[in-house]
Amino acid sequence: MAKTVMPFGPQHPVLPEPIHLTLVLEDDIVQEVLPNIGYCHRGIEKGCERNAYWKNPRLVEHVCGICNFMHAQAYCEAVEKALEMEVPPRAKYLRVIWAELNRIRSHLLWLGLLADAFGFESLFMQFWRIREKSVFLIEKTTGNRIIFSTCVVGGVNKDIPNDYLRGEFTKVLKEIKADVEELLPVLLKDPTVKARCVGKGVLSKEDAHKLGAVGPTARGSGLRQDMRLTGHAAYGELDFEPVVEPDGDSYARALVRAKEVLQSIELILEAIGKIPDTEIFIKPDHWPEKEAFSRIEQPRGELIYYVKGNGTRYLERCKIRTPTFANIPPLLAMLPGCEMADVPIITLSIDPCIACTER
Amino acid sequence: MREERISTIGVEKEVLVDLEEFISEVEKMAGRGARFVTASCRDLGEEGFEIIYHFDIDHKVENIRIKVPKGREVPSISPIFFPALLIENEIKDMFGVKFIGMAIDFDSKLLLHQEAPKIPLLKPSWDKEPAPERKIPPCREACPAGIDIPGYIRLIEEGKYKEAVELIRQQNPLVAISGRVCFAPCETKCRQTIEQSPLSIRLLKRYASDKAGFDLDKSKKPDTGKKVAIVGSGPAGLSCAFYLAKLGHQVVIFEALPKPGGMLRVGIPDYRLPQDILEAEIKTITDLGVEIRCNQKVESVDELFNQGFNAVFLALGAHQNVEMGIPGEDDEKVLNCVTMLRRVNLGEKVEVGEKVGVVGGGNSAIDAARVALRLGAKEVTIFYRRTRAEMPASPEEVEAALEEGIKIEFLCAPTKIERKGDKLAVTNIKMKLGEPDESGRRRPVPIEGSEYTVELDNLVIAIGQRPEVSEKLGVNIGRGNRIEADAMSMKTSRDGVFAGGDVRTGPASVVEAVADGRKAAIAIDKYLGGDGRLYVPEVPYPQQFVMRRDMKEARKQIPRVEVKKLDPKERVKNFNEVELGFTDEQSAQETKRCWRCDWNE
Repeated sequence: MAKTVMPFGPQHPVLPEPIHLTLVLEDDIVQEVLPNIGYCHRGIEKGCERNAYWKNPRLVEHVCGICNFMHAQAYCEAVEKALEMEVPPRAKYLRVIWAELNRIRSHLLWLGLLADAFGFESLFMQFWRIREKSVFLIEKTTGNRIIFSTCVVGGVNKDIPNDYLRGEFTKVLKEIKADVEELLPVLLKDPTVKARCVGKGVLSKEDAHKLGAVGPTARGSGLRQDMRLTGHAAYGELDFEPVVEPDGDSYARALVRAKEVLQSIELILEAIGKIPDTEIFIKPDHWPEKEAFSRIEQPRGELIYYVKGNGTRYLERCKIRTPTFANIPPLLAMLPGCEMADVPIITLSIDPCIACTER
Repeated sequence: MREERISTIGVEKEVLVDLEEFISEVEKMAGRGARFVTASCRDLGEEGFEIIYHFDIDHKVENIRIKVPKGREVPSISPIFFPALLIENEIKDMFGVKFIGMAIDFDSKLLLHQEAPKIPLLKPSWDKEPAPERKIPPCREACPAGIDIPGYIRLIEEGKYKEAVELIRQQNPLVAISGRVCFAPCETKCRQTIEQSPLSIRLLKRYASDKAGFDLDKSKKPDTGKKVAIVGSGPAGLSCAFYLAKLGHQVVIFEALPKPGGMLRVGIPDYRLPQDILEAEIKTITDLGVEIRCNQKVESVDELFNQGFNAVFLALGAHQNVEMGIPGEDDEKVLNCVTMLRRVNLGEKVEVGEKVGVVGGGNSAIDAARVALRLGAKEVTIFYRRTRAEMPASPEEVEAALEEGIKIEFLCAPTKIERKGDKLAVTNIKMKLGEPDESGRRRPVPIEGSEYTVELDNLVIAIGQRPEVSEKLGVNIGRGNRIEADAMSMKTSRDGVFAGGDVRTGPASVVEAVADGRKAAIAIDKYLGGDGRLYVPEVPYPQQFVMRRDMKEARKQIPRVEVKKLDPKERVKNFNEVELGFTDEQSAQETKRCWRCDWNE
């Protein structure tokens, strides 16, 4: 049979964001994939050179809407390293709490989208109902529903009172946990879901390492890889072991994300128990002169910031490597051999964020 | 060359290698089981590019750093580390670095498109800081006319007085006048106030104007053939006329009084604004071809349109005194503040007795009191129904009045005026402050049974003014006898008729009227078919930049210069100008106090 070239995207019902995959098909089987991005390149890296360095957290938060706090956190950690300054312990814990809250929101959003991709509308709405509770907590603690705007170079700019953390905050988190535990079997034990996910888009452990997979994509293939293990922010003081699933298919990646929601809740509760009472912000006393490299674990994987200062209030270079950018080569390896009808689900299973990828 | 050196913080190991040894170094990394993370590229300009490859070994980062001269091709590492192909394609798209042997070459279509021009997306970073940008500082924000205050202070500091005045004239054509009478809202917002007293912005403006003189830029656009009638030659009318004349329109100002200037002429006493300054400033406007017809009271707008005018700007001002509404107010010994000041300023004779009282707490009440003193009164008392904190008069004026020996009685108001022979018996009632009213000031509440009587020769009523607008103008008239007009475009309910100044806002300040006139000029130009862009000479702004943090500490230490004034005992005998203006040394010291908040740092 002759080869068919089929365009996937840039407009596709499963992905609200524009990525274009050129699929070369034989019969209904994918043979070759070529990605084409660049539909929403905004030049944010260049923009970081134009702003005074302390204004950039507001800008890099807009790289991506669903993981914005992590972008600000990774940027701030990089600049703090370049400034050779230490952040107060309470700020570190607050960063952990907000980052994990961000992860809960992002994963619940993705689980909903996955259900939606199967046409499982009611489950989609149920997941987004739980997600709304995490958005409520974000709004209560930061004043905003989506963009946190709390991370600044030198600490955080808002504090959460201890009695709120131990009161309503903990209560709502436990509600989220109960809700998720109730809903997850519905998604994961459903025969249709299993038929569409199990054994689809397999990425072996060796391939995952060779192709540089990150985040749940890597952990779903059995790699024990999590940037939280590096102990940045307050993660070093928290008891934590990454969720690893050995199978390497779409189902394993979904399972990793589902378990990480529960793990994040445990992490926040542990952080609330250990949070010290110190100040939350130290004003930087000079301008960055050095180069620094920071990486943190985003909902989608390893996020990297490389910054170079030059002794002025402007950075000379700010390089952002987002997890989806690293997960595209593994995607190119997952797709060949699958059916055309499975392409959307497999693409979704790496949780692609194109706005991140192109910056 | 192979050099191990860690220059990036947060990295375990770093090697700097030559292009020749680069691939062997990468292969060594692959042999150790590293995971490719990403590569960061930096454009160094002339020196070429710097590419840092980041690898991960068991959660530790190791870097390989190479320097690539411009035009050299880099061997691709994607045959060894497949995921590197994406970042290599991105670097190719963003910086224009060429790679050889890439696993997949997207042919500049990863970030760019077929339609997009094939130019690098990321240009070299600035080696030095980007040129600082200017922003609107607090003082300029506070100025109703929006004058570029740090700009002209900087020009004065450099001795460019003509340019400074031209810069002010971009927003306000009455430089010498506002340098004397403006109540300077900018000074209250000056950031130097955080440390000590604010800059004397108004006096610096006056100094620039004194130095530059009145022989100013007379350039204007060619004649457009449109005619505009301006009713009223006060600050609003003059400023509107100035900007319209610059745009090439033919402007005629109609003035009901025998001399032009409106409230500047008849409302502000000579000791604050000498008549010769006013004349000279008006001449700079008439020099542009503006015709002022005095003694012509305009009753109807239709008449003006019949005479061939294409647009009308009503700047009538607020010349009607507000009455108190108490018995005995129509006595001939009870003076009306507006009439009294007008007669004095126009050179008519006004006689006051030895003991004069003034009712009111605004600037015109202070003016009336100080004029009464100069007319020969021995003892002048101001009656105000609230306390000094609530007084609308500017604190400087109140201070000057107190210096001259004027007494102010707070928390009292007249309730009855009786004639006793040659004298007036004024019954006052004492007040106390109650709940705040809609203006935010505490409302005076009369204390019952606290009446007392004062014996006076004259009583001046200065509790406010309102516009005098006749129905025949055919425009909507709102609260307080004001003409209803849009605050941005000055448009009234009638097509082609604009209104601004006190007649729109109620009694306000010179600078607010000037701002209204300027906005009206823009709106009228648009109405007449222009693009609404005023014709103002370009003033080169000094670009030399000093960081605020470098100069702020030194600037904080310099104290505010107190301007020299005439001796209070001597000045009450005549109408000579009280403030003497800055000397060269004083202005030099004062300009050095500005923080230059207009630079965005």
